[in-house]
Amino acid sequence: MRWRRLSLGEQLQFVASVLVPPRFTPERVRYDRRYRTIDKYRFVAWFLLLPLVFYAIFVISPFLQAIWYSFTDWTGGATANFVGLDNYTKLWSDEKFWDSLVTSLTLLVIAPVVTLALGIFFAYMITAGGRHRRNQAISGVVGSSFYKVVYFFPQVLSIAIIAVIWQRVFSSRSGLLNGVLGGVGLEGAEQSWLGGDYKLALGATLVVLSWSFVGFYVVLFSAAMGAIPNDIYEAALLDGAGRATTFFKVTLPLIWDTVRTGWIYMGIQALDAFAVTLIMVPKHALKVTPVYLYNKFQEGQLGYATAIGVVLLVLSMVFSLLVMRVGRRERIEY
Amino acid sequence: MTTATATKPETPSRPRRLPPPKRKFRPRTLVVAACAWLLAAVFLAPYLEMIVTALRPSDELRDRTYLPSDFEWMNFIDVWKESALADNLRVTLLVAGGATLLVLLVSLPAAYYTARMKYRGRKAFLLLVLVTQMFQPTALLVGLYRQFHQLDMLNSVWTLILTNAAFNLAFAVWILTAYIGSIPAQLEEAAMVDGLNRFGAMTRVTLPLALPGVVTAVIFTFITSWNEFVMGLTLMTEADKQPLTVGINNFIGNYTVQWNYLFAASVVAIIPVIILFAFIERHVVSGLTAGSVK
Repeated sequence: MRWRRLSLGEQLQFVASVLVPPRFTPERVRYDRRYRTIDKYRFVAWFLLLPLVFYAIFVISPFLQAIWYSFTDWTGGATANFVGLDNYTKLWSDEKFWDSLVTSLTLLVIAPVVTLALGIFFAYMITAGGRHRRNQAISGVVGSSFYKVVYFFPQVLSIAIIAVIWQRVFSSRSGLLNGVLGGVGLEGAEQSWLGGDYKLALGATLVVLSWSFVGFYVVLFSAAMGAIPNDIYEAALLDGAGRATTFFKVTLPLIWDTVRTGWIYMGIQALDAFAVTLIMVPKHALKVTPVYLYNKFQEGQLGYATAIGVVLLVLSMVFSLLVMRVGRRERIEY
Repeated sequence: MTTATATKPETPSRPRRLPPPKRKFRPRTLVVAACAWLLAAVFLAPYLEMIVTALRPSDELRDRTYLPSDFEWMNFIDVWKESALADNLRVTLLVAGGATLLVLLVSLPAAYYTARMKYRGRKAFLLLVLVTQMFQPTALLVGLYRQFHQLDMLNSVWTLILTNAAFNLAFAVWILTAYIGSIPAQLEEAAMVDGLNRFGAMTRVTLPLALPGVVTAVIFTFITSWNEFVMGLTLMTEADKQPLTVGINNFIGNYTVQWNYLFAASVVAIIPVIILFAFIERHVVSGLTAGSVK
């Protein structure tokens, strides 16, 4: 049979009935068979639509706008002319952009390796670093929960505060680092850490990035290690495996999935490194791409800045896919 | 009675326990312990530096002595009076509170639905959540600026509430989905057999059980929004409307840095975080596992 065509008002009532409890829906709509389909989706509409709309407005839309405005010469005013790939060709020949990109890529490569290695080491010490006790194949070091909190704590501080704290620590005249070096008689090693030397600034940035993010990975990895059944460790112990062998042959392969996820997250954090470098490192010493983007943003070259943003997004996507691909191993079920 | 006690030693027992072997002194243990403490010191020293500097008198800022001659508690009062700290604190409180509330309202239903229903596109939804988590705010910066410029909402507190909520949504949905998913659906079915409707089953059975997860998500969102820096820096241009983290950054002038005030303000900014973190410290581990590994 054919359904009666609905008038516009009725159509609106139907649409509205998705969001309205049945009690308030007019009977004419409620007794229509087509209403059943709508009834089925009411739950979805309320429960999923809201987050999706939210996402669309504040994450997806800025993302799409960023892509669109990277093809324009927008400077913040009312007009934005389409200029094709001009911004990108300008980027291609922009010396300063390439300099900043080299720094960012260096951080992208080194920071995850350093941070994850430290994180895995600390996590292993916390879960399996203790002496062998009776009845237990593995045990953590004494005071492991204390260490966990100590490592994790920077994670709950604002990155802005972390940056200013470390700026003070690194400061050449009254900084803690030079103070300690002088105190133990290593006056020769004192440096003006953030005074303008590129390598020192890069090292300082790496230290701060690792310091502030390692705790997250310690907690993440020790959780993953804790999920490994004790029998496996016992079996390895019976077979005569030492601590190092146990780590490389048992622990690491079993937490590899988590390590890969952590690698991607840390890479993206390192590629950003915005607040740390903006606040802590003087402009002439070192500049990462996000800070370069921010400078262009301040100068009002908004179209150009979005083009840099798009490059950064593409880079982080490529990096994620690459790690997914390279790090793929056969998944071990246990 | 007596016979019972008499037979007791007869029962085949385990070999008598040897006294625990005397711990041998091992220099390696000492070295490892020393390294661990040194490492902990490296991790803790910056906080100490912050607190000590916050209490340093202005004229001793460039001294090399580690401890100042006396502690200047007036720094806290001075910074409160003479900077926009009070305004910044108000903005941050509004932003973090508002964003947390909004995240809870939006993520809880979504997580509940995703955990309970097998709908088409469930995987896609979770993937979307995960992928957007990977966007760097800095790369989206100009797009967001444009968005709020169009809406004429720059320098409005709502702007920060909305952006913070949007950026924290993914994590909350992810954690809550895992948490609610771990609560057996049979409990709800039982409640529904007993006459509750679906909504009642959700609010009276599942949510109370999921409370630890909800608390974790709430406090995490609050802390992250409290600490947010990039959006506050770009979307708020007036000093008295900026959040605390940006306000702190304003103490860094072109030539001089008022370290004591800077760190006094920082201490004010991190105290609420420490208190909240103490509450969820236990849950952080379980929350992360729930959200990540399997």
